[in-house]
Amino acid sequence: MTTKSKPSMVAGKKYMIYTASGDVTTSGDWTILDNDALIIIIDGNLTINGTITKPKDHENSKGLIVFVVNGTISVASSIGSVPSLVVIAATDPRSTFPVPAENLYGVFVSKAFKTGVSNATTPRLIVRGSVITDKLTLERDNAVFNEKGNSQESSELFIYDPQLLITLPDVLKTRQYRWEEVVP
Amino acid sequence: MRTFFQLFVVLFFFIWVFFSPFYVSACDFWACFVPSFAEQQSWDKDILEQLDLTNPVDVWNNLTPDEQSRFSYSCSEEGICSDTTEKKFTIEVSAGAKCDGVQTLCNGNGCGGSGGVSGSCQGETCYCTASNKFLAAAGGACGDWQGAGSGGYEVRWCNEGNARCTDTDKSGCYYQIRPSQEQFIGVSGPPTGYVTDVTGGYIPDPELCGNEHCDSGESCFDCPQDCGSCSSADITAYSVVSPDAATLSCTDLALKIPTANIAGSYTLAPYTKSSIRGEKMSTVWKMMPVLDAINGTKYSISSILGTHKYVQTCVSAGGVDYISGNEGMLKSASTLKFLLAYTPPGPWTQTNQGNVYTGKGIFSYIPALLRRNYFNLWDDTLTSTTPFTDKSSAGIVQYGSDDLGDYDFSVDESNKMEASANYNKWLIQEKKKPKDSVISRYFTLRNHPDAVP
Repeated sequence: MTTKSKPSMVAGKKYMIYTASGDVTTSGDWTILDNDALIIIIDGNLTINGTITKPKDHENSKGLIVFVVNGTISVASSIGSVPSLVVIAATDPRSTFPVPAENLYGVFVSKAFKTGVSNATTPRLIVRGSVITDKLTLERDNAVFNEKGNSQESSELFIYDPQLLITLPDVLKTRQYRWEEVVP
Repeated sequence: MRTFFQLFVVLFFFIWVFFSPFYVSACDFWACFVPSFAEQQSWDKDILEQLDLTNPVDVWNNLTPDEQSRFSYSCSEEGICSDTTEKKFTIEVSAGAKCDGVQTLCNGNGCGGSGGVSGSCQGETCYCTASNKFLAAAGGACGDWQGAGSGGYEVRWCNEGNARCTDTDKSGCYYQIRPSQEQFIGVSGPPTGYVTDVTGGYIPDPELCGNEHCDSGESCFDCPQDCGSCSSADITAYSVVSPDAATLSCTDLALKIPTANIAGSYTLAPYTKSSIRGEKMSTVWKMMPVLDAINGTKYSISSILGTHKYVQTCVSAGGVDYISGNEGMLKSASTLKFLLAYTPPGPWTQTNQGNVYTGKGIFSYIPALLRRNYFNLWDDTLTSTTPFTDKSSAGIVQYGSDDLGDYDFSVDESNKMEASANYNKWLIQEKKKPKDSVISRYFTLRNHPDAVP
């Protein structure tokens, strides 16, 4: 198993593709910046040990990171958020409430994806981007934080990022569909 | 010569008539042969005064042909038969008299008919009610029962002879009352709204609040004017959440009230009213009635909370420890507390925008009472109830078609809540269909019947 910090971009390159053989563990928190276009291909398992985020002031940038893993992606229990447990009644005059910041950002392609068992301080996992996997294991449980933890918020939240339609390489966006609507 | 003499006599006669000091008008001339109008009226009266005027027909039949040629009659609603052609004579008839051969007085329809809208006939007597032109003669019975009246009573108005007991004139009358239901018999006291004398009959008791009797079904809670004021005491209910709520004792559950309490939603019986929020998110019903001052009144509670799984209910009466049960006795100036225990909902997952695909099943048991209990939300805010802002929308939610292909978004085993897939209610079942060397994905859209296009 090797531990990897965030790879860097090379000036003038549109995308940077990094490959690794064997299991890989990320090191530290990764921040996706405007010019990042990182595609990481791992022939093994990936353990995400730190947050991978796209800061608010960069959320509309071209920054991109894609993990293609020929194995399991596991998220460490230490990565997560505290459920807000804000009780908002149906009659609450507040009409909006910001989506909480993500813990992981990017495209995650793997044979299996495990969200990681919750711990008491970071029980909730918020992923912004796309998760594509054959087997998704949802392991989080807000109840480890508070007995009421699951009453208001989900243990995992996956948020789609429309920016990916622009930033993803075309080769990763090709998919063929045929749609047919039947009488309900 | 004879002819000349005759002509002279005739001429002399005319000269005498037109030129003599004893000249009279033509009218006076005819008066020499026909009685004057005044004389005729006086003469007619003399005739008619000798007749029985109780029946105009008798009058008519006793007139000579000459008199009949000068007289005619018709009937009015006032019981007056008069000559309406020459206004020479009027016959006034009494109540019950016949007019034009039939009983027709005050029948509401003019002459020529009997009975009528508001009149009635008994033998040869015409009884009038609504018009009150002529009232019934002595000997009639009480009026008919008038159907259910105030409080279920039936009333009929009577006097001796039933005279003057009409809908609009009840002076001098009394009423009889019979109950509409047998069980109401035997209670004294007249119904309100009738101020005349009461003789005989039954006075029913409608068992209405306000009848000064505390009837069965009434209590100091819902009818204090009949049953008096209640004693009262407060009822309090708590709800707590604990993963091991099913195995904890009521005493241990009570210890969780300060830290594991949640807002509950309750149904209180047999009496309830609006509640207030007390300390530790409790629900308090102030001054609930205690009907039995000695033994107290039994109250029970149930919950309709939809976000957690109900486990058990504990109760504490009079400050003693909680015991298992969902009912207890509320005594005056005491307290009754309920404690409902729940297990928390299990972990669940939610997405926001974008499409969600799986080749097998999707299961996320979303608490039912969440403000947005959808699996796939639709915008960049998590609490907005306004769907489809101009910048985003929910995606489709697709599950597989093999043996494990299924979905469930509800803890309710009888309802998988397809409508909670997303706002569009787009839940899709995928059918994989290989085509040549290219993997083609073949989707069948399973729109919910009221899906948003």
